[in-house]
Amino acid sequence: MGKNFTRRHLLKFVGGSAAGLLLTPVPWKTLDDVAIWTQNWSWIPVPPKGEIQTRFTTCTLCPAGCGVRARCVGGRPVSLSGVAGHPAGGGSLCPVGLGGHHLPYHPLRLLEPARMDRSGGDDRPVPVTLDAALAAMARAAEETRSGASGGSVAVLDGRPGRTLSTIYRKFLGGMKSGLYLAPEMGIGANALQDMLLEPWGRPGLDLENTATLLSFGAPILDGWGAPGRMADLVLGRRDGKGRRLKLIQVEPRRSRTAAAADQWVPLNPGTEAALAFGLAHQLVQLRLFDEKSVRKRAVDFETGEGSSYLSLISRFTPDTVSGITGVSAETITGIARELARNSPAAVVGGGDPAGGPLGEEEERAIWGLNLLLGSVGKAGGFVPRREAPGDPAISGDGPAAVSRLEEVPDRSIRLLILDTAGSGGALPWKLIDRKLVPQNSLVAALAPVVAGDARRADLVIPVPSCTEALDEVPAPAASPVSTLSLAQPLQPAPAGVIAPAALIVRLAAALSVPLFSSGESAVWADCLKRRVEAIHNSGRGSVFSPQDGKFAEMAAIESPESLWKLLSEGGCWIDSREVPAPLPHYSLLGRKNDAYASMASAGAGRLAAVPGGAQAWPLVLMPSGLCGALDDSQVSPLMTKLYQESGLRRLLNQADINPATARAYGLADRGGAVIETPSGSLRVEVRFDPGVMPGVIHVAVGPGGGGKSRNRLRDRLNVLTICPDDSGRVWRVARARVREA
Amino acid sequence: MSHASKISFAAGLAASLALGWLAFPRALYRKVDQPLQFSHLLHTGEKVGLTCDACHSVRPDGSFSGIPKVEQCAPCHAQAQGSSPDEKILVEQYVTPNREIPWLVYARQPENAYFPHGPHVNLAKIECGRCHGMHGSSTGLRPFQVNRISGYSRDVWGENISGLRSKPWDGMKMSDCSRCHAERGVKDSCLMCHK
Amino acid sequence: MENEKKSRQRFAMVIDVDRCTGCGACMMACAVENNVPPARPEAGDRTGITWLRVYRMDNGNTFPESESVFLPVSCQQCDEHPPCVSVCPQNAVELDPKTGIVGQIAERCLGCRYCMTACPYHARYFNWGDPEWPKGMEQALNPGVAPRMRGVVEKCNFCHGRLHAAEERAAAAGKAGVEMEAYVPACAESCPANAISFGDLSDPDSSVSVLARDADTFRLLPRLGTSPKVYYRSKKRWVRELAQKEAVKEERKTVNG
Repeated sequence: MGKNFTRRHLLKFVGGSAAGLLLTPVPWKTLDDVAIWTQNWSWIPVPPKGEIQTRFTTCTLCPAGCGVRARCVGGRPVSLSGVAGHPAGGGSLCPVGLGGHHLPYHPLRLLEPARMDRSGGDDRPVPVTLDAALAAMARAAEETRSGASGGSVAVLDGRPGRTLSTIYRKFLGGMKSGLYLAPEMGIGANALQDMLLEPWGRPGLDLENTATLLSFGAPILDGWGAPGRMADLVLGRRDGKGRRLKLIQVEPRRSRTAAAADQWVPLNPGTEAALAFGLAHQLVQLRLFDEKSVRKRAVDFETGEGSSYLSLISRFTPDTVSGITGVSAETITGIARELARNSPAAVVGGGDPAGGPLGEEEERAIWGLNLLLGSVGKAGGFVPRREAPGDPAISGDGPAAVSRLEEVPDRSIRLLILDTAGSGGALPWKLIDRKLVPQNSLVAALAPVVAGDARRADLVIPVPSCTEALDEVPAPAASPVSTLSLAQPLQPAPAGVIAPAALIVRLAAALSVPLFSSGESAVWADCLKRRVEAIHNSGRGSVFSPQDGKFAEMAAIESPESLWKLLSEGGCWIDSREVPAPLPHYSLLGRKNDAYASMASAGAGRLAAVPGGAQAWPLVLMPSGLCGALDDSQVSPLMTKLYQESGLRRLLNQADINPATARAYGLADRGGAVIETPSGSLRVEVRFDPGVMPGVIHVAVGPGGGGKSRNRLRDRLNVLTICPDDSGRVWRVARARVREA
Repeated sequence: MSHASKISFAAGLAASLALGWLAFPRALYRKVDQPLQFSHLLHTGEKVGLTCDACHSVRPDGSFSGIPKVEQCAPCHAQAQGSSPDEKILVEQYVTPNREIPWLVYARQPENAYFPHGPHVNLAKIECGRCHGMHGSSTGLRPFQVNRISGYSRDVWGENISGLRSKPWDGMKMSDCSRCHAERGVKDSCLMCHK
Repeated sequence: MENEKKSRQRFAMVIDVDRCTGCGACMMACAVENNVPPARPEAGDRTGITWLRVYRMDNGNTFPESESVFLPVSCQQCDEHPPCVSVCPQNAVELDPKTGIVGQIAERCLGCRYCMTACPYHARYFNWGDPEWPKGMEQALNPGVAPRMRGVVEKCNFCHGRLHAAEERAAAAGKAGVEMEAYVPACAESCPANAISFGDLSDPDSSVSVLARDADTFRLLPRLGTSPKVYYRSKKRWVRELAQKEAVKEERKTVNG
C-alpha cells in the first residue's frame, strides 16, 4: 500500500462501506427502531394493568348519595358509573360524581397539615406537624373555657345527619360554649318547624307519587337531587314504567330545569313570596283549597283581625301580584287551578345553590301553599320522615343543639372548625368572617384539597379524599324515608391524612372532653358499626344490593355483622314507610312575633331599598352555579371539558346576561365588565344568553379555570363577596350596575 | 477502476457488511437476566403437572391473566420445596415479603397495540406455542435481550437481524399478526388490534 | 346466513334532544373512558379536546320566547364516504366495513389536520401538546385505551375500548361477536336522562333501527352526503329545522357553547 493509498482509495472505501451498509440491516432496522422509539416517549403515561374488579360504593360529593359502581384495575378505580335501581341514585351519576376517583390526584391536594400564609398577596400552605396544628386548636378551644375573653368553639358541618355530626355535637356539648352550625338544606324543614305548633317530624317529599311539582327556582334537573332519579320523574322513564310528574318551574331564567319543565314561569327576581301569596289567594278565592283541614288546623287562617293569613293574602290579588312579579294574572290562576286539579301537588323552593337560601318568609309562604293544597301529611306530598336509629337528632345526651349561623352573635367565635364535606352550596365568606373574634380567632378547615373555603382558613388539616375514606351517607334532605349507605375506600389514603373523626377524638382528648361512653371504641369504623347495629336492631326497612339490584327485608338479615357486610359492599338501607302522623295545628304565618309584617314585606319583593334605588342600581345580580362544583375543590381536573373546553358551563366570574341588556350597556360577548353593588365591585367576563331575563345578570360561582392567577386570593374571589349581607339570610338577589371593563 | 481502488471498495463493502451483519446485532441488544430462573418444564412435567392455563388463563370477563402474580407461587413456595438457589431467592425476596417479581416480558408490546388472548385461545384455538414458542418445555428463562433504541425484546423483531422468520413463533411484529390473519381469512381493521 | 349477518354490523347512535338536559355527564364519562387529558393551561373552546361536546341551540327569539335545547355532538361516524377518510394522507382513519366505525389511528397520524378541515361537524380534536395529567392521576387511567402523544388528531371511536372488552367477554364464553348489552359506549351509559341509545343498524329490530326510521329523527347536515350514523330526534320542529341548516351565519347566532 503505502503511497498508493490515496484520498481516492479512501473515498472508494467509504463508498464501499456506504453501499455495503445499505445491504445490511443497519439503516432499515435503525429506522424501524427509531420509529418505535419516537412513538413511545417515556413521559406519555402507560395506564396501569391488572385484574379488573367491580366494587360498589356511594358518592359523597353532595348530599344526594348516588350509588356508585367503580371499575377498578390493580386495586384502584379507573372509572365510575351509576347503579341501576339504587334507591337514592336512580342509576346515574352527575358530571361531578363521574370524576370523583380523580380527586385523590387533585393538583391542590394537601398531604400534610398546613398553616396558610397570606403575606405577600398569595395564599401559600406552609407545612406544620399535626401535633402543632392540634396544639393550636386546643389552645384556642381552651381559651374559650378558661380565658376571660370567652368566645366559643364552633363546627360548621355542611352535611348534618352523619355519625360524624354526632361526634362533632358531642364534642361541642362538652365545651363551655360550643356551637354546632349546620346550614339549612333542602325543602325548608326549619320553616315548617316554625309554623307547626307541635313537633311532627322532619318533612320529606314523596316525589315518586307526586303528580304536579311546582318549583320556585329549585334546580330539579340540574343538581337538586340525584340526576337519574330526577330525570326519570320529570322526563319519564324510557321504558315507560313509573309515573311522570308535571313540573312547573318558576324562576327568572330559562335554566336547564326550566327548559325541560312542562311549564316555565319567568318571574321577577326576588318576588317568589308574592307569587306564592298570589297563588294562595286564588286557591282560596276559587275554593280550590283543602278548606276543611285548613280551617280545623290553622290557628291564624281567618281570625277576623287584620293580622290573619287571609288578610295577608287578600292583598295579593292576581293583578297586584302580576305587577310585582311580572307573571300574568291568567298564568297565576292557571297554575292555581292546575295544582288543585292534578293532585297530589307539591310546592318546593330552592334557588340556585350558589345563591343560598330562598328566604324564611318565602319558605313559609310555600309551606302555606302546601298546607292549602292538603299535600302535607299525604302520599305524593310531604310526609314526616322517621329518623334512622343513631341519627344525632335523637341520640344520646349532651350533644350541642343545632344553631343557625345568622343567629350567632358577631365577633364571638374563637375556634371555627370547617368540615368541608359540603352541602353542595356556597356560603359567602363574609357571613362567617363577621362571627369570628377579630385578630384572635383560628379557623381550621378539614379538607383534602386547599381550595374553596379551605383557602380562607388559618389551618388546613388534610382528610382523606372521597374514594379513600370509609364514610357514611345518610338520606338527603328531601327524602321521604331515612336511608343509609356507606362509602368504601377504593384505594388507600396517603400517609399524612387523618380522618375527621380521628382528629376530633384527639382534640377532645387534649381538652379532656369525653366523647364516648366507657368501653365504646373511638375507632371510626366502630362508630359506624354501632350505628349500623342500631339500625339492625330496629328491624325496620330493607337493604338494596347493587350486585343484583334486589332488596332484602331486614328480617332476612341475620345479624348486625351481615348488615354491615351488605352495606360495605355498596348496599343501601331504606327505612320502611309508616302511616304519617296526623298533622298538628299550625300557624300559616309562622310563630315568630313579627310574622305578619315580615311576610308582608317579603311579599313586596326581596330587592331591598338601597340608596338610589333602581335608578342607581338598575340591574339585578344573581349568583349562579352547579351543586357540588362551586369551587375548585370538588371538581376533577377533567371537568375542564365542561368549562373552558366547551363553554357548556360557566367558570368563576363569568356572567350570563341578556343580549339586549348587554348591548344597552355597551358590553360585548366574551368581553370584560365590572359589576358593582353597594358592597363592592367585581370584574367579570360577559356571556350573552337569551334565556336570561333582561335586567338580570347571573355571575357564576364555580371552578376557577387555572391560568397564571390561580394562586392569588384576590383573583379567586367570587361574587358572593359583593352580595348583600345585612341580615345574613338572603343573598341570592342584589341590586347592581355594570359597565364595560 | 484501478486494482487498488477495487480493493478499497471491496474492503469498505466487506467492512460494513461485517459490521452490519455481525457487530450490529450484538451491539444493538443488551442482555438482561431475569430476576430469577424459572423452569417451566419442572412445573409442567410429571412431578407437578400443571398446564399452561393453570397460571396463564383467560378470565371469565375475557381479560388475560398474563404472568402470574407472586400470590400464585406462594401456596406452594411459602417455604423452599427444593434446594435450588433460585427458589431461595423466590422465597426470601419475593414470597415472604409479598413483593411482585419484576419479570421482563418477552412478548411486551407498545401500549397502543391491543392483543386479546380470548379470541385467539378460545375461538381460534391457537396453541400457546404457536406464538410463544416451546416455552412450556424450557428449563430456564433465557436472558431478555432488550433493543437499546426501542426498548423492546428481540423476540418482537425476531431472532434474526434480517427479519426473516425461521419458526412460527419467531417475531411478534404487526406483519406477523397480519400474515396469520390473512392465512386464516380474518378480516382486519386498524381498531381491531389497536387501542 | 347467521354468520354473515353478524359479520357486518353498523353501529349507530340515536340521541333524543328533547331528553337532553345539557348536564355534561356524557362529556365527563367520555373523557374518563378514553383517557382524554385535562385542558392545557391555555386551552379554550377552540383548542380543547372534547370527543363529545354538548352545544346549546337557541331558537333565536328574544326573552321570554327564547327556547333552547342541548345537542351532544361527537364524531358522526359517517357511512360510505367519510370526508376525513378521503383526505387523510396517511390512511390514519378508516371506515371499518365490519362494524361501520370510523376508526382514528393515532399511530399513523402525522398531524397535518387536513381531516379537521374536512370534517363538517368539527368533531375532530388535535393534541397541541403532550397530554399532562396531575401527578399520580395516571393511576386512574383506563387500560383499555392508549393515551396519545402530541401532534396527533383524535376523535370518538364509539368507545372501541368497550367494543374490545365486549368481544373478549364473548370469547371467554366461547362466542364470536358481541352481546349488545355488553357494548355500551360511555356516553350512553352515563346519561342520567337516558337520552342516548346505541345499537346495530343492521339489526332491523334494534332500538336504533326503529328510532332511525321515525319521522322525528333527523341527522346533522344531511345534504352533504355524509350519511352519518349518529341520529337525533326531537318533537320540536324548530330544532329539526335549525339542526339541519347549513348556513354558518345562522348557526353563529344561535349555536352557543
